[in-house]
This record gives sequence, structure tokens and C-alpha cells, in this order.
Amino acid sequence: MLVFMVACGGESTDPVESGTYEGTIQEVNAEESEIYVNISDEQTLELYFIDETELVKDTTAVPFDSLATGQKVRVEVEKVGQRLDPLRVEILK
Amino acid sequence: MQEPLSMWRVELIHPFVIHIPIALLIVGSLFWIGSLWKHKRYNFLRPSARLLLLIGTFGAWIAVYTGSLADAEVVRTLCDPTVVEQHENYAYIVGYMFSGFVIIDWLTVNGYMDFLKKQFIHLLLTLLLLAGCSLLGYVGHLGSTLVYQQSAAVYQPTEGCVEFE
Repeated sequence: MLVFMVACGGESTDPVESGTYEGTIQEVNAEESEIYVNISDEQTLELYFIDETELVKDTTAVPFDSLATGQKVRVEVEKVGQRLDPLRVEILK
Repeated sequence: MQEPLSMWRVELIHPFVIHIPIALLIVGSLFWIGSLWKHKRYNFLRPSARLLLLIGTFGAWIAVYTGSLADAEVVRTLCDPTVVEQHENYAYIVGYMFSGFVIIDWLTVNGYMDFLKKQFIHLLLTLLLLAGCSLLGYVGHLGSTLVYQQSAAVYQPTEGCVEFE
């Protein structure tokens, strides 16, 4: 079953508590305004941008297409149920 | 006056599409397993099963595709999006299982599996169908929890239902 899961590209993500986390962007899905952020070897956050999400670089607001795989980011998330709403995403480098 | 949301929303294609493959895959599996015992008396069972399972498998992949379209629309409104992940991942496995059945059965019919005993292939295919149907039931259960517990793609009428007046 695990082989099937890997073969089909199934994602496994982890809900965390509200707070600020630093990590590396593993994947950017521009169509769905969604990013996957690795915050440790075992933990990946799946973040769907919402209307309130602020995306900044050097304190300046930037568009979603500024995000790219491999970038370091600092994300402030709010846990709503088991959903993580990104309130602020800061591109570090 | 506010109008209720249209029924022609992209996230509603998925529930429109999924029930046909579910029915075809379950009935096709029953026919195919039944044909192991009653193939001579009811010789329509096996060809019917093959047709149902072929169309059902094709429909299952359409269901997976429409599910990904619905996912993009509703995931921001769910209280537990991890259920969507499970629903999607297991749906892929169901698709692979029934696709595996169709391919192995086709290879068998065309003589490419003659190096294996027929009983072994029948056992393998039966197990694939039983596992596929079981997992299909679980995928359906996860889908129903998304709708009935988390209101996925469900329009919430305003207080007083004024839009229906």
C-alpha cells in the first residue's frame, strides 16, 4: 500500500499549533495558491493562501509568483480546527 | 435579493460523477467472482463483469480528476483538510487496484499469463477485486464525512432562508 501511496504522489502533511515557523518551500502550486513548507525533516505544512494572507520580502508586499521551490520562508499560521491558515509568509532568501 | 449558489459549480461535478463507477465496480466485481462458480451455467457473467469493470475503472479515474478539481475549490473551507488528503490518496489506490485487475485480466485472456496457473491468477484477481471494493467503501465513507461532517461544497442558506422566498 505504501508503494501505491508513493507511486501516486500522495502527500502527507502535518497540522501544527498556531505560531511562527521557519522552513523551506518544497512545492509551489500556483493554480491553487498553495505551498508546501518543510519545517523539519519529518514535518511538512500544506498552506492554502487565504484573502488575509500577507506575502512579503524585505518588508515589501510581493505577488504569489515570487515564491519558488527551495526558498527559505518564515510563516505565521493560525490553526483553525485541523486547518492551517497562513496569515503571513515572509521570504527570507 | 441574494440567490442560492448555482448547482453548476465545478466542485459539484465530482458528486455527479462518482456514483456510476462505484456501482459499476461493485456489480462488476460480484459478477466476476460469481462467474468463478457459475461461469458454465451463466456464461454472460464474465464478459458482463469485464465490461462493467472496464467502464467502472475508466470512471474511477474521471472521479479522481474531478475530485482534484473539487479539492481546489473547497479545501479552504474545511475544518480538517487531512481527510481530503486521505480521501484522495486512497482513491488513487482504488484506481490502481482496478486498473491492475483490468490489465492482468486482459493479459490472461490474451495468453500472456499462460506461464502461471489459472487458479493462481483467479485467486490474485479475486483478491484485487475484494480489496478494491473494500477500499472503495472506505473512500466513499471518507467522502461522505467531508460532506456530512464538514459541509464540503454545501451551500449554507442564510438565516430565515430569505433567498428561497
